[in-house]
Amino acid sequence: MTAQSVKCVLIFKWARNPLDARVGLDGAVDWSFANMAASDDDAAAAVAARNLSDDIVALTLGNGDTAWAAARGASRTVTVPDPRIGLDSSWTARLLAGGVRHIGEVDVVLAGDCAWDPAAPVLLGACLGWPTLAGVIEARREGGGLRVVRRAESGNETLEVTPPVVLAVLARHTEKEPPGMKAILAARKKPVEKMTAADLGAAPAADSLVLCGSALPPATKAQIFAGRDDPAGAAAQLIAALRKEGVL
Amino acid sequence: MSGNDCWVIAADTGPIAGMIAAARSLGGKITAVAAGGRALADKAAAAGPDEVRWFAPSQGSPPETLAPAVARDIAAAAPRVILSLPDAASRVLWAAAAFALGAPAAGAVTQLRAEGDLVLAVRPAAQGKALETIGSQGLLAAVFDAADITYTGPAAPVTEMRPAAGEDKFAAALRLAPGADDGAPEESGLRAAARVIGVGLGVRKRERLAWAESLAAALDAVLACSLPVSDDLEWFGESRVIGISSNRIAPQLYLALGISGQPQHMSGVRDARIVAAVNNDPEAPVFNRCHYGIEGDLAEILPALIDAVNE
Repeated sequence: MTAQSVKCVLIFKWARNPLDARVGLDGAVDWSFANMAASDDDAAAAVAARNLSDDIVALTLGNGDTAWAAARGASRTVTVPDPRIGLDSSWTARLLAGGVRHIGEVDVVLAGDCAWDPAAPVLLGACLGWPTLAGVIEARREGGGLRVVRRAESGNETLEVTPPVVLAVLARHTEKEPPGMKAILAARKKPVEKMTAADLGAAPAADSLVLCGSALPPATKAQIFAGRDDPAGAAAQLIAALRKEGVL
Repeated sequence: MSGNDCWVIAADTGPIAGMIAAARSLGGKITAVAAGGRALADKAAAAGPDEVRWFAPSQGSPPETLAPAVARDIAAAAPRVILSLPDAASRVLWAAAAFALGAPAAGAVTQLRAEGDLVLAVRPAAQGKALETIGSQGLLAAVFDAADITYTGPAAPVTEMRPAAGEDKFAAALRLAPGADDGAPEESGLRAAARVIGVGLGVRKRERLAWAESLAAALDAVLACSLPVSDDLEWFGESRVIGISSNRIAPQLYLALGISGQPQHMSGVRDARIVAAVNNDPEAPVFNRCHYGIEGDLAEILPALIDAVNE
């Protein structure tokens, strides 16, 4: 990092979208329909990257739209088209760390701190051996370093950060200004470099995780009062139930 | 690898006792790492582990600077399982230890058990529509994300730990900004409230907020909202949003009005004692995540609830 420039890697589409997974009547989950997708947190990471730098290289896993980050400011994209993402988040992190090392001299790595996989972004920092902050809601340059706000359980905390650093960025809302068609078309002309896990020197953890079963969640025991025909009666029943529980 | 021993990591407040209770199912010794102030170490000690190893960050440093020291300590003990609270700082320390051990890792597990030579972990899949059980014949590193419990047993002994020479290398890179304490992201008393009413998009019309306010006054409750009500409708500020990336609360009563019950929102009220919901959609997911509900039109139910409370 120099006084003039910060080089960022923006990681996007590194997790499967659980909304697309299909659940059978027996509780079995079919992930084959769940594509790698950009989360709201990925979009928040893109905003943070643009606030920090004009020098952004994107890194993604899987097939799909490799121009997503290029349309949001990245100059080029490195992709691992066949990442074989499974149950082990450390594999995701090892692949991503290989990608960051391949990109080379990097100051800040940004990824969405995504509820779809709360493990991979922090494991990425560990793989790289870099200082890591998760729950980041704001990052900007200040002086010779960065000023980062992250969410702690007790409130927000502001930190002064000297790169290199991994920032896992938390979205506070859906993407406010998605790129227009012109930016998307221009992004598709930017370079894309395809890599394999072997190219990146990624090796799996010694132990592996296996899927041992899947079931539907236990049925709810909620007591539902019918309020459509008798609003007053349902309201009275609910208030009586809450008083009986001792919460009113 | 030592039996089914488990190390749990806490660098912030969270469901420590729930995490330790889940780890108890494995049958091994439980060691808690508390990375923070003495109060956090005492909280961890009172949550039911066999021992606590307390790492205090140096002045002006966040807990993440302890990652090399915590990872070295855990790797030396070589436990079979390491668990983390779901907060940002705990996960960073956990990741350093998981990587040092070379453990496969999983996010957001809710239960653990040992079966034969496997350690098994249950986690929600497909946005909570299913529960997957994953297993490892060797090590397992997992982020624990489930409700807390109350532990009433004796407190565990606390041993103060200090980073070895060179293990504070991150302290120069991560510094808490002096005088920039942003304080809590909420100033509405939301987190301490005994009763909270959440307003969702199903309320539909802003003028109905007056009813919600009347009901809140009658119940001595604090008003809060789902993310779209703040973000899209801007009826409330961000400080009133409940959800996994906003405010997580643990009131006696959470009453969800016109809230569909997406996991992102409901995770924020997981520790509420009683959840009640009013929604006009009988298929709304919130009805699978509440104790009591009314299926009906808020325009009719809200005034009826106010009358019922005031009777």
